[in-house]
Amino acid sequence: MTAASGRYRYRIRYSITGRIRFLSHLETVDTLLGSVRRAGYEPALSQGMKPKPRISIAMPRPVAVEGLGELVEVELTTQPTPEQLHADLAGTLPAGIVIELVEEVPTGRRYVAGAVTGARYLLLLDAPGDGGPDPEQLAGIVERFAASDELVVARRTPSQHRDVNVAALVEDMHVAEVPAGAAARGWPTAAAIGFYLPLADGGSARPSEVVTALERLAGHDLGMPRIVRLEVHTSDDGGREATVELVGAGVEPGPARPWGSC
Amino acid sequence: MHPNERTIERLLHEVQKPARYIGGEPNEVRKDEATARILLSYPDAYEIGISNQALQILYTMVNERTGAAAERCYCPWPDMADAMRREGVELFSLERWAPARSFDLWGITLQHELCYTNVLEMIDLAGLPLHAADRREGDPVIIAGGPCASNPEPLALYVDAFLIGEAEDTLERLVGIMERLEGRERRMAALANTPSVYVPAVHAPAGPAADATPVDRAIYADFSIDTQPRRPIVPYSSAIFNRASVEVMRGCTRGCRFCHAGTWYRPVRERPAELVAEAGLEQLACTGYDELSLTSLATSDYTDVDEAIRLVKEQRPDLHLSLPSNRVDTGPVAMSAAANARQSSITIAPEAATQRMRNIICKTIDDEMIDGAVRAAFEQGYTSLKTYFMIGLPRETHDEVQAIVDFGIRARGIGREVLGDGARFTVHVSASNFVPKPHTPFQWEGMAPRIQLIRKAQFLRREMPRQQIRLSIHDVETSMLEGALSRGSRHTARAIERAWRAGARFDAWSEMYDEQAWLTAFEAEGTTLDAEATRQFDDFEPLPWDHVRSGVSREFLLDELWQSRAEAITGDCRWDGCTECGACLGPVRTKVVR
Repeated sequence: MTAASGRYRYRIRYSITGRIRFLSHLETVDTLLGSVRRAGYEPALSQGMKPKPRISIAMPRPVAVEGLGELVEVELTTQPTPEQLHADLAGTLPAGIVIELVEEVPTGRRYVAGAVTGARYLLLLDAPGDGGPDPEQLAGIVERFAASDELVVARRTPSQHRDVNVAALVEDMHVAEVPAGAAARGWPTAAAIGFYLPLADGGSARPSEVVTALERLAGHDLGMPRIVRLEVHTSDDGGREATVELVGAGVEPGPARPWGSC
Repeated sequence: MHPNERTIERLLHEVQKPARYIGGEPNEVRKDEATARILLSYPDAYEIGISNQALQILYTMVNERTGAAAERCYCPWPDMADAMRREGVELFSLERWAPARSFDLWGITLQHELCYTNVLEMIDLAGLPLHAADRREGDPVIIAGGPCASNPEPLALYVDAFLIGEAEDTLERLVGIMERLEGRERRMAALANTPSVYVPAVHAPAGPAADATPVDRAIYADFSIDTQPRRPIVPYSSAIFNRASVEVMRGCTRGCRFCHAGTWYRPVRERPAELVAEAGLEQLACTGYDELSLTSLATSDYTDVDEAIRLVKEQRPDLHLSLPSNRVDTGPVAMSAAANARQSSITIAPEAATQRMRNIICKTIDDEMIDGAVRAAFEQGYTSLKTYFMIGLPRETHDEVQAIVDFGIRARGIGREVLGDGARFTVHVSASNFVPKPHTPFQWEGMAPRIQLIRKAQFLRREMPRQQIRLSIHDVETSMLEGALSRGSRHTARAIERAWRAGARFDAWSEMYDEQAWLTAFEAEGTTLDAEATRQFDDFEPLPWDHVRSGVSREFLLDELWQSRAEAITGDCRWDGCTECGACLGPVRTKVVR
């Protein structure tokens, strides 16, 4: 947004791992907003009878899914430098949420929630003794998934009951390397599966539905797999690779931390 | 680390609101090394318990002032509790997922009677013997406090000790016992010799009787701002209260005869406005809240309230400032309007709609003041007026219930007069059932019979107009249970256990309340729930809580009961002279800012 409007928009990339992954989407929004306020910044408010803070998470994160490249945009009434905002936020976040990057968003850019194109996931699996699949069978399961045209999973919510063809909504299903440091994060380390879930007009699959489809192909459950969302991609980030451009160079920052912090 | 950490994680995938069990909120404290381990519990769901100010105070005091570590635990919702039992997972703290039974001291706050079955549920989930007498070396000492500890007998079989009164001055002493002494037996012995700690097994092993050792209520004499948390835990968004709060005043001497807090927290103590504002602003910065509540039993009675509002607003002009529990007067209405530019509703609590009944309960207001407050509220621009009344009060007649209907119509008329006939506004009339509480002038009075309460509620529903008036009535079933428990004794304790074994838990949640379990439980103890709730104690009959001394004398309470029967009011000692209640005869006297 423009300085004239008194609102300054920032895009923040963060990770959310560990126990805090059990926060719901709304709880995550409130937690991030609280951190912004504790850092001494006032979120800009929407117009109308009941003004709300202007904050937007790119893609709702299912409960229990960890995220390493989550995106949120928040508008502030002041204009700190991205570096300053990053530093101030770092000390106010609960354990498990880490800011990776803060960028000011140029005027006129579409909000991040409207620009999401998809997300890349990693499924980390236990060893067979802990309920995980046999690693030797894993490649076969993944191959069969990739070759399938139809893998229907029932989606049930209080307001919705329909069948979803997961096979048509998953791309790039493959056996992946278990990332270094997985054990230190408390992740299963026996095997990993990577896949991409595009956000298309026809909808998208949920990662838990992918797990259900894999379990059906395996003929048994996959134990307690850990689902990690590696990246959220947007149409304005140059596909699946680039990051948003930095703006604000040469702009005098507005007053920051108007009433200090603890 | 909980031995079943991996299992807990698995359970979190299958329960509602897993954030209830994960901890890690901003301002949480984790200590790897500690001189003693203290577990603090509110026996209800996370979103209720995390909002409790008392527990936040104790948590902060232990973690900041001592080498001990305080952690938290709330009552798991039944889906989680059932899953924990199925998988053999014992109750655990939020901070480290450490088993509850591994702590030295387990403090449970009792804020209302309808959480008693949850206390049993938590003890059982922790894998501890339900009965205090069956606990052994290595088990934590379970101590309960809070307002319901004023009558400890309904839980005396299950709780090892009760802290009677305000914990601030006693807490460090309790922690010291845990730090210095090894072994449950030695700790229990030390607790029994600690002022204001009631150990049923020592002080009244056979139940309360004339020879039971009396225990005096602890009073936080200094009422220093230093014990006000500056960095309270910020709950995840599901909490019922998401706001900063500073306790500006403790105690109330208005003398409403039904009010437990009005006698239990005497004498009145206040905090200076500048310290209140400083603490509030610091708490806002440390929590990120955009609302500050200045709490007390009646904040408009706080003598420095205008200055406190001014100081806070000077720094944060747009802040939403909440002033709960205002008295019925035009001044507080204007004050609330000044404090909350954004708020569209205001609450007043006349409690009774006729002058006769207000005299009986000692509510020193009249119709002119109430109507003035209603008018002032609409003139200030409020479009939602919330009003609280009670039904089933002692010596209530049909006229008193009819008067509540008349009030609703009158308030609506004032609204139309001030705002215009076509204006959009609502008068909310809320009626709750009178429940007698121990240590009040009405402790001898029984509840109105169930059928009377039902008929009064039916009358209100039938007669109250619906246009621009919203009527809500508290359900009779849980009120009757509250009445049966609040003045209970040790045989009530056995009924609580029977009800819990039959599945009763989360009794304050209407969707969870299992009335049949309670009816059967009381019958199995040779009585009925209704007989316990409606029981009228004789004026000179021993009461189950006589061994708990609040500081307010029995003679004063009895005199107030008789004044009530004479329909006579008693003045507020802050302005009308000492009423000789006895509260100021101890080390603390009523202390106001000016």
